[in-house]
Amino acid sequence: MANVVKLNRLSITGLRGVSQPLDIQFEKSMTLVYGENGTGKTSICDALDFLGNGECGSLGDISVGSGKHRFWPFIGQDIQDISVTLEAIDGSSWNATAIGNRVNVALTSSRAVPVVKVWRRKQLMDLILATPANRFQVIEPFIDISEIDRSETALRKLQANIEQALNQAAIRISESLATLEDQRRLAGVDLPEAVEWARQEIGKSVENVDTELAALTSVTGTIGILVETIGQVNELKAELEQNRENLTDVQHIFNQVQKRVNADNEETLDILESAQLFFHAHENMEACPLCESSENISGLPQRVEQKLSELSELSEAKATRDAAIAAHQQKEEQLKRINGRMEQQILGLKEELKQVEPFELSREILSELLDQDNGTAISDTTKLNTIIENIEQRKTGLSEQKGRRDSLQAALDQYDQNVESQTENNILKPKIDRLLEMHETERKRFVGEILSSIAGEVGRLYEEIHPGEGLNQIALQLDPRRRASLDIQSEFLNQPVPPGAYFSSSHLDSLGLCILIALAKLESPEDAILVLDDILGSIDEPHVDRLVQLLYTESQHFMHTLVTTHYHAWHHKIRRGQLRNANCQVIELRKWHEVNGVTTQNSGRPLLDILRANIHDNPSEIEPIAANAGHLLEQLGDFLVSHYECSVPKKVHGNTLNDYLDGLKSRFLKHLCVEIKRADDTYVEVQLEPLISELKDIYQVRNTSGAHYNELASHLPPADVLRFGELVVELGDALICAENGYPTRMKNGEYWATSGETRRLHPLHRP
Amino acid sequence: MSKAEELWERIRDVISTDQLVDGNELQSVEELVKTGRITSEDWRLALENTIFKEDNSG
Repeated sequence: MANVVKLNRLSITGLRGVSQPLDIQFEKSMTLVYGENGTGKTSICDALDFLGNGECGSLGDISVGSGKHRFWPFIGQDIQDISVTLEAIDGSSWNATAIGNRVNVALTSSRAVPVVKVWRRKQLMDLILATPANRFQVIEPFIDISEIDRSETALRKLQANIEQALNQAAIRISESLATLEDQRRLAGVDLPEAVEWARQEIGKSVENVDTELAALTSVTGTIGILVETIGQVNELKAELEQNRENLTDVQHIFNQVQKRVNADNEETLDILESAQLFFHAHENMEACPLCESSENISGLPQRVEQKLSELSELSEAKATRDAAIAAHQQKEEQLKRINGRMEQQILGLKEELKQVEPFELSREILSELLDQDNGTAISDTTKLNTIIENIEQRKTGLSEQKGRRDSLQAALDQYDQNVESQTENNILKPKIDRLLEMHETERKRFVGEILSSIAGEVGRLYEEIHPGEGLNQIALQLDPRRRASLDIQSEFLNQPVPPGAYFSSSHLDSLGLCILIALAKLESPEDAILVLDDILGSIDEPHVDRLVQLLYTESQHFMHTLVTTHYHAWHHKIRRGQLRNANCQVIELRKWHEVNGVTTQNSGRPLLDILRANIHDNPSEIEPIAANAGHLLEQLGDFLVSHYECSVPKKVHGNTLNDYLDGLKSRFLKHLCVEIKRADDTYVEVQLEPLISELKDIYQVRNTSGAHYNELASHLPPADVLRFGELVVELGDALICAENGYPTRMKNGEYWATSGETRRLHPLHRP
Repeated sequence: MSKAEELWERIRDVISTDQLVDGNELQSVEELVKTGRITSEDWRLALENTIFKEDNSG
């Protein structure tokens, strides 16, 4: 057994039913949490689940939707208030808190968070009675090969992908071949076969087509610009013609006005306008700027203004005529510039036309057109537009030719790519099939071996609880036809049967528990906390002692074992000393209270210890001493009488203390002795006859002081009661080992002994 | 050693004996398998690299 670090304390705050902080001090490697339903047993299990697995598994069975974490805290408390701290005796500790639906665990040492394996009653039932698939789900976490499962899933996906790729490649190849066949038929060719023909076609140079297409595109562009320029020239020429007519009109008007106002000539008007401008710029002139005489300078600007006023009509006519002349000159300049541009365009076009070899007709027509008066005489663009249309048709033809070739290329590329993919995948496929087969085979073999080893261990454990019943031939098998499916087979009357069909509920419970323990022991149990939440349901009385003993033994493999139960007999038997409790600490839960939450009480103290404390702490309180001593003596008497099959009267309401003591006859008592193992492993012998004989003499003090109100009790010396109590303690200490209970195991055919032979009871049989 | 690691060793040995995947490729795959991050493309790459190498040597 590996070196196991034991736990020291569990502290819970704000989780599930724990409304007030709860501390559980672990004293032994196994803790039995006893309590009625609703006292908080599952909250304690949830705390360990929360710390180890980041969840509260008890919520798994309840329909609370996906937001289970909302129910982690006690009602009215926040999820941030939750804290679960676990301490080990070596000083390591782990503190689990929650943020949202995530649990964080803080460590105080390098020791990893313990593995917490929680088994609940539902899982036990699922394991035994559910379908094989559901059954496998229960054991799956204990055969954790999830990384390998992922690898197998990846391989399976790859296999499917390749199968799909092969199917798709076959379809694409077929499509490509059909396209190539169509193209070949359209080309009017019969041989060679389509793929070869397509390769030959694509091999042919297409450079000329692309060059011609580019040249034609350029030519059409240039012609388009030329057409536009010609349009501008024509427009300008029309405007010039219009201007020319307008100029004639305004000159005619000016001449008529000049004649009417008797102006000498228009130069006079020019002089007057110049003088007006001059006088506006030079006020207060003292002499004439021409003759430098001051004689007539006075009033000269006013006279110029007056003269001009008289000639204003002439002035306006002149301005109109001058504007018309200027506009005309501007248009002529514009026309000159555009003509220059057009000449350049024509020269460029002539150069481009040299590149357009196959398009002779349009080229010749165009050349001829452009050569007329060096092209500048072209004013009608109809021919040019017709040529553009012809070129566009030619381009369309070339593009279609190119498109057919591109289509051919695409079909051939698709064909080649898919043939390549098909070839590669045809090589890969058998290797992947083989790889997956290996993966699956090894996985099934591995899990099968684990299950087989578990089955052996389950059989061994089951035999411990049900010795000699012949039901220990358990087989756990993966269903070869299904993934993740578990069959459980057992033998009944030498026939293989599913246990659910023939086993009693009690036997099924034991079987389930044995499987759970065997599973939990699979991997590093020394780092694991085993939590068994209320799994003891219908285990019947004859088997419960052995089952509990089994749990005591198996708990030694784990870091800690926590068992919850509402099964009263277990709790009761520990108190009576009938079950050894060397490694078992009993914690009883009080009734749950909405303010105090989950609270504990120490009720697992054996009656022998209670009686000893009564005598030591309160020797004057004789009633509890008498009562507890009587109760314990009845138990001791029952053990001896039953164990040695002594005769006692059968009574409807049960036997009395007198019956038990009377059944232990003197001649038998002489042989009764117990060897008690001391710390140095030597034994001290205690004869029981003197103790029991004296008890026979004074046991009535129990009836006087410890059973009912009795007037005689006032006459009884307390020392008698104390003596009665001390004798019972002495007898109890002889027969009951605090760690290992009663000596009920037959050893060497010589005596009865406890585990570890801390007590040896003689004789083996009643003489 | 975890159960998954134990099982992987078996699978790896069988693959290696069968020479399905080249040693170096298997080592690369192993790291991914152990961390649970292996994908179908990783397996494909390992196989392709092995086959490509075989083609070169052959």
